[in-house]
Amino acid sequence: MSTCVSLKVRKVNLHYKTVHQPKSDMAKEASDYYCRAHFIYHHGQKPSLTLVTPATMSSVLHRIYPLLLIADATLSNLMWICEDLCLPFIHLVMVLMVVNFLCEDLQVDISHIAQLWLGLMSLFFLAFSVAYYILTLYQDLLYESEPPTVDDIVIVLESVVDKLETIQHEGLSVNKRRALQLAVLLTPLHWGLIKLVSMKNYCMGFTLMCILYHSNWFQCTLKLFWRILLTRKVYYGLERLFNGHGPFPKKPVDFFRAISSSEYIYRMALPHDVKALHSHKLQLRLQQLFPWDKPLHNDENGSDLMVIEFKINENQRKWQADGWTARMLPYERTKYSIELGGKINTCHSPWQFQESDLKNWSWLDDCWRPTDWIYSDTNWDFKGVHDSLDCCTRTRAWKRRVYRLME
Amino acid sequence: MSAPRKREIMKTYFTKRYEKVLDSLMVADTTAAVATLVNGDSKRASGLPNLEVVHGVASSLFNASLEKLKPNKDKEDLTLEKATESSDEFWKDENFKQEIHSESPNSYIETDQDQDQEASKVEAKTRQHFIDIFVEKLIAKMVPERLPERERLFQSNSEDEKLGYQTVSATKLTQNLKDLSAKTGGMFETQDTIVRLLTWRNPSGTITMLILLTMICFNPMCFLVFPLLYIMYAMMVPGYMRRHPLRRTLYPIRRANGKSLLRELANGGIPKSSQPPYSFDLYRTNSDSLKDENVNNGAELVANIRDFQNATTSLLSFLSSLEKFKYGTAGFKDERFSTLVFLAYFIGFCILGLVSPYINWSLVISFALWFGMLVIHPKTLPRIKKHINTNPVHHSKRTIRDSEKYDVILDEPPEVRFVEIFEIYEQGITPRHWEFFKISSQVFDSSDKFRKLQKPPPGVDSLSEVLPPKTWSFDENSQWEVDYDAEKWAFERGLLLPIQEEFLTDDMFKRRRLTRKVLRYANPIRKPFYKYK
Repeated sequence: MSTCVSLKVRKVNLHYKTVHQPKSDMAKEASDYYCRAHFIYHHGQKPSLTLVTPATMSSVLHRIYPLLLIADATLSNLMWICEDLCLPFIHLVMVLMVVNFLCEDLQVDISHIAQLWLGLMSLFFLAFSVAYYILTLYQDLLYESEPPTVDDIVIVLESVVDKLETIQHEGLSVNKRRALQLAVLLTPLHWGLIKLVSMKNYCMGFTLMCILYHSNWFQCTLKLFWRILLTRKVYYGLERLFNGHGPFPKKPVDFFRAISSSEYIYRMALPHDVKALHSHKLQLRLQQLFPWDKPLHNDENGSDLMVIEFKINENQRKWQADGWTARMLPYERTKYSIELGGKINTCHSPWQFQESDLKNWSWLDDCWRPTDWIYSDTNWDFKGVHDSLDCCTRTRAWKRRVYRLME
Repeated sequence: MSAPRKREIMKTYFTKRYEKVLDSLMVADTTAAVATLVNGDSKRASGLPNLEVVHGVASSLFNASLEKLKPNKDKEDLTLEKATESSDEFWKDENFKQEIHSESPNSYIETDQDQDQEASKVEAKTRQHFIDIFVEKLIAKMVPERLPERERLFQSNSEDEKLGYQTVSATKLTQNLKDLSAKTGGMFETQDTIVRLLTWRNPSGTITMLILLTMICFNPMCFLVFPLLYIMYAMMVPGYMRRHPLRRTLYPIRRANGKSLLRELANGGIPKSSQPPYSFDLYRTNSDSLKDENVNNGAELVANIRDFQNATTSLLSFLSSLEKFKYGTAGFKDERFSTLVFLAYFIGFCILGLVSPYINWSLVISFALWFGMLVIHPKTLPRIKKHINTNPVHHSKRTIRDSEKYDVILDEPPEVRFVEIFEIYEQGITPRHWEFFKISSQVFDSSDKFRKLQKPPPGVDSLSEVLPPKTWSFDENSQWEVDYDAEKWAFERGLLLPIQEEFLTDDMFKRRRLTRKVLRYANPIRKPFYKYK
């Protein structure tokens, strides 16, 4: 390290001949410093939009500015990210009282009348507060503050879009078929719940859920629940129930099914002298003809030899407790898998697999050869060939070829 | 006039003469130190310069010595004492005069006592410990002169003007602590009584407590009613009885015959052999009277201080365990454990919320109270512990835990950001010849302070030496990539320089920007402010 520093210093002195600083000071400075990369911030200077925006566009933007502000405030309330958190809470309570009022049966009784009165008052208050907010907003924009620049408007627009995207991302994405299935499944559940906790409580609970759904608290609770194995088992169990089958067949693939649906089938022509060979001699000759590290190609008129390459994937998952292990989650691919017809199938380990009765097939290679590990995230999406923080799973293929002489 | 008297007058004269000088010296010094400290606030991130601390301590020492030289004439302190005296008026009412003067030997003559007190106060002031003064000065240096109220510590200081001068004074604090420890006797006695009740050392008391708590459980109004009863009959009636005794003659019992079944049961069964009849109450009254007569005030004060010390120690340990929870478990230090704790609380919350309307809470809580008290009875607790320790279910817990470590899956995608670094080249002999110069986090344009000093920018010579920002790590699956949109990043920095391909050039140097992905699993946990160093 010290030699490195002195080298650097010498280099620096060469460049700056005018510098009359003592060498030791410079060396100290250099050794104290280690270069840390800085983050890229995207809020640096940007070209102003004012001059490049057409006048009609600006005027339209200016007109929708108050609407954007209202939308932004509404979304902030919905996502519970306002500065004063007590305010959305009060609104929530009022909304619940309104729901209570709407679901209330008419009865002449002190508590019922009180509830009705509270609900009605909340409804009026909410309506007036919304109207008041909008009015004051327009008033502020008109008289109090300076007119917004196009950049201001675009910032609010970006904020609204960002919030909408977050809401969309947090929402459960269901297609039509799944929605129908859910409706069929949930209707009796709804009915039972309504019978259990009365219509009014059910409505209030549902409203509460809807209002709280996009809050940090709800989303964090969901995320924390998703960490639990049991939750995922239940989720994928339901998935299986809807789909009628699991993501991966549990039964290991046998040798002949692997052959029949393999994608790596090669047909090749052979010289006559090779055709005459038998067993080991033939295998050795074929190994010379088709080295294991060279990819195979289909011959145009090859009908003498059929070679099939097996690729058995070994899968591993990274655990906090003890790093990379072959322990997989119960709903995902197992320790060994094989890809057949574009689908991932459970498989035995290569050494169990090679024990199967080959009949008229013979092994071309002497052993299984592994590739390098390929790293991916928790959903098995490819990340790279190095272990990194965002890699949770890895896989490598064990390859071995079989051949058969065509009669 | 005698010589000593003359010397005395001279001394007063000179002290008066130089008092002002000393004062101005001190004021100037203190303000200078405070100013440096307050100005230094912005630099605090880099740590307080040692020199300033030394300077502060030294000047505090100097001030303390000056203070010691000064005779005690602090008007402020005098008024303070006056104030405390006026509050003492309450205790000087003639109704508080005692029959037996056990408190202080010289309380017979009031005027004498007052004079003596005055004299002793002045004496005490001049003899005030040097260290006290030193510490006080040191504190005055370390904190800004006017300390804001706690709630305003973190707010804007617009209304500071309205706040009175409230300085931190070590002597005042010590005095308050002393007074407090003298007055907390009652508190510690209450605490002791509660401990005695909880540990079944006073069985009849414990059962009375349980009955009262059960009554509160079934009628929460009792919670308000009992304190009223307590004030009326445990505080006011004894006070009345002390002033106006009912003259009921009570003959002291020498020997209590017979035993209480309840007490024997609570003490662990009826003994076969007859023990010396040492009744609890008798023992207690004995001890009380002993305490009343023999234990003098000094010992009680010391005991109070000791209890106070113990209380602060246990308070500290409680606070530190609370802190451990707040920053450890609640801060997701151990992600798996914290997740499980959160879920346990969530499930508990749901179950309680669902079940609570169908539960008679009065009954449950009162049963729980009785059951809990019976369990922690000193005779039953060891047996239960023994039973639990021999239970095989408890032993097999360890093996289950090992297989349970896979129940929480921590596979959230990490936080992703991008970092930048600049590869700087220096102009060679010809305009087309460029030589690699440095890799730096700075652009090193002509306004760069290092460049103005004609120094190379802080940086390294190879990309492998570049470190990620603290708490982040480079993504191994991504490499440094050249940013070809030099115009954009140059504009964002407000640099209007000629661009050649991906390079931003000036008369001596050209540089290009390299970016790379960095990852971080989670933000670091918040720490209490005193742990940041």
